[in-house]
Amino acid sequence: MGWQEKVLRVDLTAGKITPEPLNMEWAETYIGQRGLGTKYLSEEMDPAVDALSPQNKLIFATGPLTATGASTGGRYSVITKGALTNAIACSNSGGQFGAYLKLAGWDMLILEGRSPEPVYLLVENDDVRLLPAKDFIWGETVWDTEDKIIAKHQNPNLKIASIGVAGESLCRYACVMNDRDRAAGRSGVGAVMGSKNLKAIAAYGSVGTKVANPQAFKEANAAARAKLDPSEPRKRLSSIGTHAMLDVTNSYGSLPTLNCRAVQFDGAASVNVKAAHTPRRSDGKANLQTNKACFACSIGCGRIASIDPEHFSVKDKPRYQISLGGLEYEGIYAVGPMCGVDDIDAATYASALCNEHGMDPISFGASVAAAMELYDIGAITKEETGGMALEFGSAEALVWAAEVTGTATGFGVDIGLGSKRLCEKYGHPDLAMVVKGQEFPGYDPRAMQGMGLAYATSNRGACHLRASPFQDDFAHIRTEGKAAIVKKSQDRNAAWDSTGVCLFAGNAWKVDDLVAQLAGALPGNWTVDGFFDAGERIWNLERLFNLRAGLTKADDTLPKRVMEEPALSGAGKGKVAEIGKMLPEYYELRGWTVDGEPSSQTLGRLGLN
Amino acid sequence: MIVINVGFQLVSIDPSEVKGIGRDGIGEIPVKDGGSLADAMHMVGLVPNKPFMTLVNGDPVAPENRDDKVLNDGDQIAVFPPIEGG
Repeated sequence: MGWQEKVLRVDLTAGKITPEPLNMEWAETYIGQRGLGTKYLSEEMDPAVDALSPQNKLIFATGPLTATGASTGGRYSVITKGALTNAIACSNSGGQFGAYLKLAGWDMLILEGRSPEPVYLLVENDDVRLLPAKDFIWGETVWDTEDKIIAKHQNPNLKIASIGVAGESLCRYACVMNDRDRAAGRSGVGAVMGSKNLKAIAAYGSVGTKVANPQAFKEANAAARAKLDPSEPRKRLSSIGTHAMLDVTNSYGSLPTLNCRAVQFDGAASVNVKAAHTPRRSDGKANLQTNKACFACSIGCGRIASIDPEHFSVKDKPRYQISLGGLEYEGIYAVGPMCGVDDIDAATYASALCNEHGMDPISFGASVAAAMELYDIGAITKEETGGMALEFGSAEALVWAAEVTGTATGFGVDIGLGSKRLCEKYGHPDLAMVVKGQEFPGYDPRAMQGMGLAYATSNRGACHLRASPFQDDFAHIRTEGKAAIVKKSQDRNAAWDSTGVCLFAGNAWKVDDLVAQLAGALPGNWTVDGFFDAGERIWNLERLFNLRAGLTKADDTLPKRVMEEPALSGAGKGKVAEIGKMLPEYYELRGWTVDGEPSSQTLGRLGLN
Repeated sequence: MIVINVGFQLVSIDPSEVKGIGRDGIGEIPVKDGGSLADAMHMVGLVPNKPFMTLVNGDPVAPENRDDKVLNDGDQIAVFPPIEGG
């Protein structure tokens, strides 16, 4: 019935593995994945603990539709206190791993404590073991870790989530990677995994899943697929991917460029979709080779690319002269325009190293951009970098930064601190383009006021997936009406991220289409109103976690630069992000006090007392 | 009938699906004098009430305002698809 009704609790300190029943009352109230994982974390852990201490917990949670056959239903989330943000972290990933964890019979993993020695967790249905990683995969890249585990256990069907050296060395924006190039990418969940001496989780499952009402589920699933498959958004995501957004934001004037000094990039035509599709001179191949889909997905937004074998980054490196995970919008924005780099091969290489070493390319690219600005103003010199001229626009500097940060070498350790800590260390905290310590995605909030509010109020720090103000932002540069759009879409996305289904299916589906599938998969009465109520409950639960962790209203803000320095060009020329005009209305719509705390009435209404 | 010419740029939209636009997604189209943005979109086969996002001379024009947005000779129109996320 959607759930396996089983949780695997792993005490890494004691090396003890304990199965336990899933709390079905909570599952009905918080749906699953993001919501349910946050509920467990909130109930079991003091949010004030150090994110990298053994007292932090790390939860891998699937949704009720994960591995049921629902379109795009292969998602899982990693929920913890973020190493980058010291706030609630919930990073969502696709690929195959989450589905295989569910197919092994487990809805959720709760990882506690810290192993005295590096280990990995092997999950083959009910056979679950903690095994030594030292002298085997500790110190290896994500790619080699996957290959070695599969070879050792002689099971090519194992699906693996792991950290690279970035996670082991506590890079603040380290990811949990799975299936080579899929990532639970944001907020430093990989650093938390590294702090626990846990290198990898390998899962294989053959238990299968069941749904509560097979006929209703089958009909709802077929209807949803009939909407998704022929839809324009699906076709567009499949053929040109999220990468296509670069031309949109550049034309509009909301493409963060040169650490947000600018909002349009002169070199965009060298790193856009057209550039990725254009055959190059050296071998006649285009950067973009093909697309790639996650479990049960008919969209296939993932990109597979190849780097020009003559390019300086990969020449004499056969390891990278193969098909690799390619450029998606958030990655290319960060390692391209944000750093002023117009070299698509350097950008693809840097992105590939983020996958190989397990780093969030958004935070990595934006941190490099911050370092480039610090170098530009003389706050960082060649003395700190070890001789590298860390100049805006330098492809060589970008490639070098990816190599030294991914391997935690020299100045790479500083870049691995993330923009906030890096800029504080070198005396210019205002140059960090972050919210709650997390770097901006690829939307400048001066032309996109709704996105500015979405960044400022996001519980996990600056994020483009917590709310969906895109369409209104691309039609109206104004503050009026944004609070309602942001609030409603935050609730919708919080619930959606709790189901096991990809947000991108929402480009073709309405909430009704998803609720019909939940109603087929699960017992109980599922309605659209109930779905939004659950989303609002989850959003407020995350907010309560952050308040208990010590965050305040003062953290619901944007960097000084975008609030005080007007956009130089584009549709938002002359404008600044006016968060102060939107925040009071947002708090009111949320039923929060003027200090941004949920009122007792709101908590009572949501059952959060 | 007096006509004016306006520039038309498709951003991240396949130009083969749009009439009168070059393979690079850029073209110039004639519109009747006094014609609106909605008229221009009809001319190339884009349905104005679809959730495309549009700019005229760099300024956004919301879907509900496309009928009222009168074009002038030499105006530059850009049309984006409704992509979300990334």
